[in-house]
Amino acid sequence: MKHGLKSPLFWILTLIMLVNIYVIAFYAPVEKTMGIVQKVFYFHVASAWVGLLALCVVFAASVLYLWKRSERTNNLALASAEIGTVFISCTLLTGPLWAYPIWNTWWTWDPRLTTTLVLWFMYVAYIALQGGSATESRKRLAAVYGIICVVNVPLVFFSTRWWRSIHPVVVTSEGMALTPKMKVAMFLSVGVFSLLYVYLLNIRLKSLDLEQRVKRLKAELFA
Amino acid sequence: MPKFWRKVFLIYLKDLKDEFRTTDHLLSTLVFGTMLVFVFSFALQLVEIGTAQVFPAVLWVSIFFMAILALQRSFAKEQDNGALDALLLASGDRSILFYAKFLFSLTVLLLLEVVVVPLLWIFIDVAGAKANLWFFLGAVFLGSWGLAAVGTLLNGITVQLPGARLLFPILLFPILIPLLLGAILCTQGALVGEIKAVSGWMYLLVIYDLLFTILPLLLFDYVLEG
Amino acid sequence: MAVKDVLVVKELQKQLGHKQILKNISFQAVTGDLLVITGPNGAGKTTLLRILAGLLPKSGGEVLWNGAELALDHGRVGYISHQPMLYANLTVQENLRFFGEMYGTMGAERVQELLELVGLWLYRLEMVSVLSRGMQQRLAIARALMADPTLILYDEPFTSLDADGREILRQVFEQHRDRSIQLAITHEPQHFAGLTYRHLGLDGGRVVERGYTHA
Repeated sequence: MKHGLKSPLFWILTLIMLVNIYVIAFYAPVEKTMGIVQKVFYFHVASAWVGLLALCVVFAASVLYLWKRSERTNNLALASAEIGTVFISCTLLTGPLWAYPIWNTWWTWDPRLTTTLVLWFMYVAYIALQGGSATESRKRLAAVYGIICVVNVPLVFFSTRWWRSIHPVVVTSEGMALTPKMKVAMFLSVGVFSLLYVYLLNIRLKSLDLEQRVKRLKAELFA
Repeated sequence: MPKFWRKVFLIYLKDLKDEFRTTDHLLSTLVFGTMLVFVFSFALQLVEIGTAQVFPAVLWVSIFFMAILALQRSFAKEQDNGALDALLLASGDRSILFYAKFLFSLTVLLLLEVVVVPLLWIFIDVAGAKANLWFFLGAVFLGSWGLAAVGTLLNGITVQLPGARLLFPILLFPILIPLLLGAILCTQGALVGEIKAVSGWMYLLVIYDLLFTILPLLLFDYVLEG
Repeated sequence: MAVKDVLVVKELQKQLGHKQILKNISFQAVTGDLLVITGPNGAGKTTLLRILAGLLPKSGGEVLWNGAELALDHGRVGYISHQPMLYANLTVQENLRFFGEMYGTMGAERVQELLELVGLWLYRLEMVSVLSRGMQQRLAIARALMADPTLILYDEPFTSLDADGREILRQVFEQHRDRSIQLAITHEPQHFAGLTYRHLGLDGGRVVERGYTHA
């Protein structure tokens, strides 16, 4: 497959993303009460979705790695975690952009916000555990940690939700009634971001593969 | 099965003997815990919010920090001159090691808390008139249980990466969030004597503890594989 | 010894990442055999021993003990590595007792017998941390024998042993012929002079040499 500007996939993806931006900007109506700031929602939800999708991939790849021990599954887990971190960061950054004008606060301890932040911490810890020097033991231990993290996510989410449902909820992110046109824009965003994830994943997998090939060749050279 | 637990118990006793023979690590951890409690209470006193309301939060954050030191000990003592391999051969099952180290960590944590918790209670001047002491002790016990279980599991991971000691708290804290939540709310409920309202959090602690006590049965073979 | 144990290693492979540490190692041994394994650094000797002990999983091939897959739960493997693998804060005696209890071969006489064999009976109440490296290595031998092993794996066992210690080790080789299969890695095959042993030369993860030396 060709890379970068020579790759047809790159151009197709660029085109779809431009369409997506057009749909968000002009096709989806401006929300009556929130106004133009609501548009960030399409990016926000789509990146959160990719963050979760990437986590599922980390989980599946970690289990596969412990089973098969192939370098590729570990690469998949690592690449997915890295890209997941980027998207979760986007979610965490776009959230306050919307929250400040609407909720009048940058941050609130809503279960989803809290879970997302914990998820970000776990991603970062996971990547730190993988470390720069990709030794066999690091990969194996990271796979174990990846599984522990995924087991932990529902616990975090349900405990924070329970905590907030016992206490009075001041602000809620519920009740954002979407018109059909908004729904189209949202699902399109989710789809496009998923494609972007797959595209980035592919690139990262290739670069990891190359890195390891260089390492192997060097080892052979110096042997 | 009795053989399994007999070996767990033997390793547990060996660890305790080893730990108490040179108490420098235990003592340092205790001193650190005491200082933490003092610094927190003092800092809050300076801004005049040293009331009983902050007690649960300060208590658990202190225990968490103290646990970073206490929990790193369990596998480190096997690493010193490669005893881990000999121990694995004698155990014949990696899970035995997990449960032995878990019990050891839990014991050490509880011992430290025996000193640190009353100290914080005094420093912050908790008005314990309405407090439900049994519920409070239950919360501390279940919280420490979960802390020891997750800590042991993750220490098994980080101990194999020499020079990556810093990773331990980084791996540990995100996993502990549900425990932190449950333990703090239970402690709060116990202090004001409204245990009915928070008894659900006790169940959360129990579920969390059970999960991370049983999960290692599946995962620990992979952790100590090399 | 009526029944002999049989260890069969068939096309054993170990892969770490892209590195093939062991490529197709095959050999057999029965109770009474002493196998001396030599080879340059990085030949895969220690990896082989750790797989046989059940400490490291293999990537392919078979390791059979009396026809069944050999795993960590074998329970009667004595392992002597170049590290002493002892608890520095426990006494000599406590170390042996602990392992004896773990293996279920506890017995005060057994501890005394082994400590006298390795010449540490007088030091039994000393902490391991005050012992010299050579003494620790002697204790490591006693610890491995505490398992009442049917398979003994030695990884550079002569490391830091003095002349007496080496003589003790040679005695151990002889004494355990009737009940164990013994495998030893060494860089110094001269220490085995005068013993009957089979020789396995490893290089680049393969067996490159096989031999037999009769005393």
